[in-house]
Amino acid sequence: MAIDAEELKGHLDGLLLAVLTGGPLHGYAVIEALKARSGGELALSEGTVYPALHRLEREGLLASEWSSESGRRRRVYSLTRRGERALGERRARWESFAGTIGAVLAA
Amino acid sequence: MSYLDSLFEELTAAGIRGRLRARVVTEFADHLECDPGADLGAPALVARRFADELGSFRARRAALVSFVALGVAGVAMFVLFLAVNDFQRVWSWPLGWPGLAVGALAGQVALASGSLAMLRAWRLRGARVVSAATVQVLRRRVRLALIGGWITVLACGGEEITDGHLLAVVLMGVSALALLAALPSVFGAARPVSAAPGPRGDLGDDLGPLSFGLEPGAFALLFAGLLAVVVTLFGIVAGDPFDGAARGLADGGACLVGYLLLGGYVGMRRSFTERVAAAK
Repeated sequence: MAIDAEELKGHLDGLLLAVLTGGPLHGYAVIEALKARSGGELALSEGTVYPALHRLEREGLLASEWSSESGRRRRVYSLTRRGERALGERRARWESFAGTIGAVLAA
Repeated sequence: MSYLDSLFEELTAAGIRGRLRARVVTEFADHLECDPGADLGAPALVARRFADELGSFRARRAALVSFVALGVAGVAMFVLFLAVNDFQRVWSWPLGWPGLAVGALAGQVALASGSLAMLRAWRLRGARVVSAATVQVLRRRVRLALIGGWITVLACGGEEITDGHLLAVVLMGVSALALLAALPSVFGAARPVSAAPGPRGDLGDDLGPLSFGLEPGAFALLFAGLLAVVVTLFGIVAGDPFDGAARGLADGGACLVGYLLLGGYVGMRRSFTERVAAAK
């Protein structure tokens, strides 16, 4: 069952931080990693990912630098220490939220 | 026109230029190289999203940076008063009593406007995008606060400087440098501007529960009254109740006049159209 963009609102930042725990990635690779990890269930509007990456960088959760591959310049994003801490907090909040809602729905 | 050309134009129209625009276009170009069939969304929408988020961030940052700068300038001015220990001597140049009045009023306007800007920015710190109307309010408050700060600094310390008082020169310099340091963030907030819809809010949005649920006008009246009482009490403690009462009335009155004259401009109260919409 695909998860649409509206349902993703509020979770996109956490998802972006999570896919970058594996190491630095450029924008397209971030989106591909999101699709792969979700088994293709995340119906992402790809254009929305870049503003989110820029915002997370402004907030100090991501760092970025230029790299070059096959003569093409690309911006590579990596998780900062602050980003790691933020991801930990988001995971804890999500587990608490999912546990609570799950308990209610299962009742 | 290619997608990237269109994106370039839309970013320019949204107020995103220079290195940031080049970076966005390069990132999207790389994405399209990887997947020529990628659906990146309409260029206008993409540009709008960048502009809304960046505009919101920069307006909040300008408010916080300006508040810190005004705080540094305010502390420097306070130390100057303590060091000179003479209210009139510090504010006696170049205009004498009119200079004193303008400097004192401008200082209060700077304090109020800067504090309100910081409060609103702090309360919106978790928001990805704030409405265009709120961004306008933040920018107006920051501008007014910094203008007030500059007037205060320029109206102060003239006599001390002409006397060659080193401490006064240093403290004036610190104040001026602090206010100058805030300018890049203020100019940076000029664009891009968020176009996100939404109300501009009022004093209740700045103060949250501290507004006690009062309407902005009622809160301003309460605040002015409390200010008058506190200043009067200081006069009584200092052994001059009549002077205290006069100053209390003047301060409370100035507070109310300030609210009436500037409250709409700096978004302390809602616009007429917003009140009509809220009443419906």
